[in-house]
Amino acid sequence: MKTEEVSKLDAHPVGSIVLVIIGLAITVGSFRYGFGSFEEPGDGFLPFLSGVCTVFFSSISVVLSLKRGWMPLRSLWEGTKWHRMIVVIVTLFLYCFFLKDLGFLLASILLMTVLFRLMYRPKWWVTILSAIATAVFFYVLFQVCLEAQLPRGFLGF
Amino acid sequence: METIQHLFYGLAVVFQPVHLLMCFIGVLLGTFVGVLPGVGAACTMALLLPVTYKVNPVSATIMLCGLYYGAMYGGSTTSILLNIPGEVASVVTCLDGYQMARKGRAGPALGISAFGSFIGGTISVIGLMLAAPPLSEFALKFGPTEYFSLMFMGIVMLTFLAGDSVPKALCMASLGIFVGTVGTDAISGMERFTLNIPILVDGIGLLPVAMGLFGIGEVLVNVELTLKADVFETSLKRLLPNLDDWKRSIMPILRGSVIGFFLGILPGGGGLISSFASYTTEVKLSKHPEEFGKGAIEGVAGPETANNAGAGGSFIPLFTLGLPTNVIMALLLGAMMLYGLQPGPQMIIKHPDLFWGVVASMYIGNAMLLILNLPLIGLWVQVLKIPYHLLFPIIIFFCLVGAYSINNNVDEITIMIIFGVLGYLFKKFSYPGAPFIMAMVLGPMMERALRQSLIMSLGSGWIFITRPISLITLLIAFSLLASTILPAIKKKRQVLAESSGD
Repeated sequence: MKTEEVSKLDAHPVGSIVLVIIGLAITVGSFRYGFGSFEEPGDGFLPFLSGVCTVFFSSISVVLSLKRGWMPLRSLWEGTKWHRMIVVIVTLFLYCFFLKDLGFLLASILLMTVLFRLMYRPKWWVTILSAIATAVFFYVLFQVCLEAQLPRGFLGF
Repeated sequence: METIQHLFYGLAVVFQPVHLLMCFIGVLLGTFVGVLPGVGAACTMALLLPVTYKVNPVSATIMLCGLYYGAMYGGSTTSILLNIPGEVASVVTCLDGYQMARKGRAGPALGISAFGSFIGGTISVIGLMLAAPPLSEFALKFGPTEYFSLMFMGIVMLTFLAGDSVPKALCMASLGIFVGTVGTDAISGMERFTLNIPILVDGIGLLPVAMGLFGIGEVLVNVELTLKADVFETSLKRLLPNLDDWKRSIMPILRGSVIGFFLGILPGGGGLISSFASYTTEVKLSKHPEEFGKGAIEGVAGPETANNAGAGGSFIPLFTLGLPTNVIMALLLGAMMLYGLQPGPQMIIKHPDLFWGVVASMYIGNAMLLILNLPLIGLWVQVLKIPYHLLFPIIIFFCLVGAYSINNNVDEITIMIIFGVLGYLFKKFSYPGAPFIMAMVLGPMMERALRQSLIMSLGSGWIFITRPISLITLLIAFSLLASTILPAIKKKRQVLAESSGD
């Protein structure tokens, strides 16, 4: 397929289809809160309108994609190092999960060690020193200077 | 005369050491952020919001405003030296700025960019100072109906300009309005869509969403790529434009100031639209249009002036009407509300120290930026060389700690990461994030205005038509929507006519 033909194609419609489903869920869910009346709009009034609009506009996007054609789903990740993105997301969720148990400093050092090595591989001691320095800097900035209550883990810090 | 007195009052406010320091920090950070591609002013503003809780609202607002117009200055550096816009508003500067650098004229390009930004920024502050007070008085006549219509028009205009697909942008705006309704309803006290999750009872906060969409989401997109920027190695010894450069640039600078200022006031306006409009104007007015795209200094002077003037103009609707015209202003609105301030017609009356302090700080800030961007340009060139593999972990970490420190709650981090993943997916499937954020900020206000209007009119929608200001703004909004649909219908009719003729 020629470059100019590819560039005219839409992104894959699966995103729009998901939004249609979400919009329907919002529309149906808003009835729980009461639509009210036009004289006295209820709590579900604006959520209902937003849900209907979400369904409507995302449906238009689906129709336009069907008419124009779309790029294959895999093309969105072709030529990219998508595994890095997965590593970042998993690491962040693990950070959330263990933050309170490990404490801010230890959890942050582990997090920064993983992130610093994601796109580039310096020597291990450089990575660990950088991770410690960054974690300590942010600890001082937020805990000491800005008086945030950062979590202490089983080690007491 | 009264305006001058107010300005002196503002100068007295801003010359307090803490305000001067915050102004300097804001413009310095703004330039830093503007220089670095991959880190935007919106992301940085979201990162800084938790930090600003600890300072007084006037200082915080001065800093955040400085961040915005500082980023407009800094964005030109990467455009000229890297051919990559540091800020979205500097994309036009790449066209001629980089070509000037290739011809060994990076210094004059950077120099005229800095001077143009200073002139445009200063003119727009004068405009803000003169226009805001009378506009605030006029806005006192607005009721909930006018506000609803204005906010509706603002969202439609932003979606119109946000991306390639208007339906996708409108879908995002609708979703943003919904997300704004999650939590406890301010009128009835009922919990909506909280799914029995305690953190959602107070609603989904702006900060984790903004940090997620613009911080984490941006990083997730960038880590997939192999980002390599070759800084154009050139002499920066002569930064001052020569007489010929000034002769060619002075009119584009003056035109850019006016174009930028007025376009900045419009919803969807700000730096980007202003710079495009200025570039197009200069091409049309030039006696040598063939030089554009090949290193015409007018192609740098006009747009860079316009984007700074647009930044200044965009403060007017926020301060006088409480209506943001772009994402940055939406975040600033959210920030000011978190500080307990209500931007709008009453703000100048109730918080004169804030308004006039911010206006005065913009004069000071623009002067600081001229110094930062000319003699210190060598420093910013070094900043350009910071590798992304060092930068992105810091951005992520700042987001994490910032999100946690909002309420000392890990759940805020979880929300931020979820919106970070959503932001990544939005980008992949070409859904713009700006309408989402703007609608999320405006949604609760729109709901309140809509419900009040319908109660006032006993359920009749005619109230939006019978009130003149509301009618005009709705007509503008629907005209814009029609302008996207009608060409498609016309084309369809042409195709049908041609095929029936066969």
